[in-house]
Amino acid sequence: MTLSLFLIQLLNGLQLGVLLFMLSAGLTLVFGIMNFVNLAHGCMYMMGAYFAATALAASGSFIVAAVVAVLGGGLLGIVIERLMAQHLYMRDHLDQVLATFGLILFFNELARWIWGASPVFMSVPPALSGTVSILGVTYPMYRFFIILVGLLCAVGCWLLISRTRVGMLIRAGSVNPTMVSALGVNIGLLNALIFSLGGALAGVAGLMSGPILSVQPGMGEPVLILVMIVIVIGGIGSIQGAFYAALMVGLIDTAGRAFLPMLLREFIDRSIAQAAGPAIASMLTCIFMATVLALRPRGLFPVKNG
Amino acid sequence: MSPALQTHALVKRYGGLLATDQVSLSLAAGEVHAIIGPNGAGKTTLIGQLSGDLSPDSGEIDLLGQTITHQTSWQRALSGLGRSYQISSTFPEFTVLQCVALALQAHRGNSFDTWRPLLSRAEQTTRAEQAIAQAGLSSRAERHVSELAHGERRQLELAMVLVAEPRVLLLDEPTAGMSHHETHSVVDLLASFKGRYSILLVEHDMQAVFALADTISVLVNGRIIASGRPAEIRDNPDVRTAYLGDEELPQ
Amino acid sequence: MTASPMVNRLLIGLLALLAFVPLYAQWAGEPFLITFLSRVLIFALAALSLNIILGFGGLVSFGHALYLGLGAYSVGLLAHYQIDNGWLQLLVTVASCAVVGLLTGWVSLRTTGISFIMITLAFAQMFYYLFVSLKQYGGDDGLSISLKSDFGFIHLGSPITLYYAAFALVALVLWWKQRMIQAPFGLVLQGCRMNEARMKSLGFPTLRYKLSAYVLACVIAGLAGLLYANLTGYTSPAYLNWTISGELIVMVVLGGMGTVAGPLIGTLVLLVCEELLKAWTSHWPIILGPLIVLVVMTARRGLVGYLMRGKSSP
Repeated sequence: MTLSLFLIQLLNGLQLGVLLFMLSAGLTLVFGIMNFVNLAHGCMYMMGAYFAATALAASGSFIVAAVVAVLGGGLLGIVIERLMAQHLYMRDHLDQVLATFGLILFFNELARWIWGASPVFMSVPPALSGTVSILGVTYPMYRFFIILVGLLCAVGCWLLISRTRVGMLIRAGSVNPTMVSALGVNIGLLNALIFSLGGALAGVAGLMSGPILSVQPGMGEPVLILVMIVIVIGGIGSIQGAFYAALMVGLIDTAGRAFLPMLLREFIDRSIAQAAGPAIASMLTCIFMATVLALRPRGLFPVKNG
Repeated sequence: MSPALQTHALVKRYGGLLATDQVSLSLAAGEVHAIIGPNGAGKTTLIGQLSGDLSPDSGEIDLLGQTITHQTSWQRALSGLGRSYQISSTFPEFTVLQCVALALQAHRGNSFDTWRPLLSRAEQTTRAEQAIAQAGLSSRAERHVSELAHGERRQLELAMVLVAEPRVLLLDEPTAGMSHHETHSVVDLLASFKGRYSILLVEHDMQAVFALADTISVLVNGRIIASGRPAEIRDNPDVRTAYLGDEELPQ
Repeated sequence: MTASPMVNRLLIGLLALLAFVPLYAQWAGEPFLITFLSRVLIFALAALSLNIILGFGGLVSFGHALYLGLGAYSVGLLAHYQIDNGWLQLLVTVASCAVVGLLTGWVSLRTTGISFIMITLAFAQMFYYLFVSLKQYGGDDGLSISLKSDFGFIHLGSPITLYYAAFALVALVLWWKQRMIQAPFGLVLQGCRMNEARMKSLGFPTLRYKLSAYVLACVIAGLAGLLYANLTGYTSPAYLNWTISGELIVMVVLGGMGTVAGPLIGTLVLLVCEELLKAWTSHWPIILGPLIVLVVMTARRGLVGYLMRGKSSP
């Protein structure tokens, strides 16, 4: 295994990491502040990808697709929050799990109905279809673009949370939600805002994933499970935790998918080693999560309760 | 005779707040030791560390001669420590009898029996009924907890703690929300325990405190500012200052 | 929650009806009824097992299908190697479910709430990928099972035998749970659900009991998986899918969490609804999804809870 191969996988890990961050940032806030288990988060990611793919095919412009994905995701977030989620905040997690499970069934079948069961193709925008040279290796420009966008989102989140009034309310809400509403803040508006922010970020993640992953019904759930692992490791309610955990999980998952099968190929049949990739990646992330929880049951950066 | 319960320099911090500040106290065997103090003094936090619900940042706790600082709350319970809660902490879907029988069950070996009803165990059910009678709740034994009035829940709280006959009792405001008559019954009951049980009592009701306590410690801002016989505490100027506007100490 | 006499009568009536189904089906020439109701009974068994930890213990496990899958694969893998000895398959099922349940339970039960839900889901997904990666055993396409389980005195290759095996297990587990709910173990579990902190301060090592209940539930679900593989003649990673775990939760909650009869009724209602919807349109999840949302928003304690409303137990 050469250094350049190692660096490429490192960058791939980073790229997956920032995608995971875009998805986990919104979800960890919903978990932490509204104490709401939103399994339908993967649906916003999937719909974002579908919106983007459709818009790109219709307009030919990636920028248009981006706008549609962000707005679509954000709007979907608001609709889900106002129509369903807000009535379930006071209910226990079980009810929330069931209701959002029902949503997943609905959205996956909706996607299958409208767009069909086969993956929808989304092309890489021509401007980004070349390669770049980073750290001495040649890397696809589009994937590098994803890393940049992801880091930009992370910086944007950080600015929003730490430098704005809304961010302060969000931080306060994650530590003591009842207090925030008792202080007279329009908690309904804040909740809808958080949901739509999560939806918009999920939309961006869907947009970015479109050209490199399959846009198909049910694409949200495998990613969602990885996102939930990220959130548990990072600490529920903590965006900072989500960021570091997302990068770690992204790297571990990529390592499991790429490196270990390469190693295994030395010992066992190539096709078996290749097929084992996702299983190993999944096992590594689960073992990582189990280890973190054994040492820190509340995650790496738990939000301290007041 | 060694103290039933002892703490050495117990400290508990919440962020910048020092909830428990170098608390060292001693509960002698068979006596009632009352902890009093203004609201927010950290009394419940202290009880929490003694019962094992909270862990101190530093300091030691000894129960019946053994160091229990890092023991879990269930280990302490099985060693003879019983705790009642300031806000009644019971099992809403169970009946009074089920709650008390369950409380006793913890001390009757393991609970892996999946077949025979708990209440078919005659000895345990009888003992549970006795504890319910002691707490004055016999007429409501078959009622579900959700049907009980507030004062009755406090009585249930007491029955659950008494049924296993723990050697050391931690009582967090047992008479809170009780009527005058009910408070009187509880005080008589606790007075009858002197010598048999050792009781650490957190209370706001000063009549109850001065009727029962052999020793009183005053907790203010997490620190014990005074500790001694009731008469000494009553005449202590620092205590009067701390309580100005909060409570009237009986004369 | 003790059942009212009316619910008990309903349950016994239902069981009596189910006992006569194969006879009726043969007389009326409707073998599909046996297949369908076998499926109902098998999933009811899995739902009953989930109810032990979910209903009694309040633990929302979103990865229970894992154990259904382990049971199915115990049969599939052994049958693949021409081993159709039912007792051996049973041993492998119980052993694998107990070990996996113990390990995953020990990790998962260190957390509560949202984390517990997500971790159980993650573990199930991990095994899903594991079975997908086993290309030599069918991988994603699954493994067909031509040799059904042979227990000596019964052979699960016969649909009627399989039906009564499932029926017997369901009836047995129902009876056991009826006892358990009043026995020390059941009371401790319910106590942990209602107020775990108090249980600990009373002197109960709660983790021990939650873990025991969890492993018990896993093993029973494994038994359901063993039966399911025999019913479908097939096993696949799809049996471990999170959608199956979700449907199991729906069955438990729809019927009434924490009640004894709930899971059976919930399974029956859900699967009948699914069949009806499937006959109507191929896009049936579009209707089932919002239906589930509606049920959650309105019927808070499930069907059995609805039937028991107004009785003395809350």
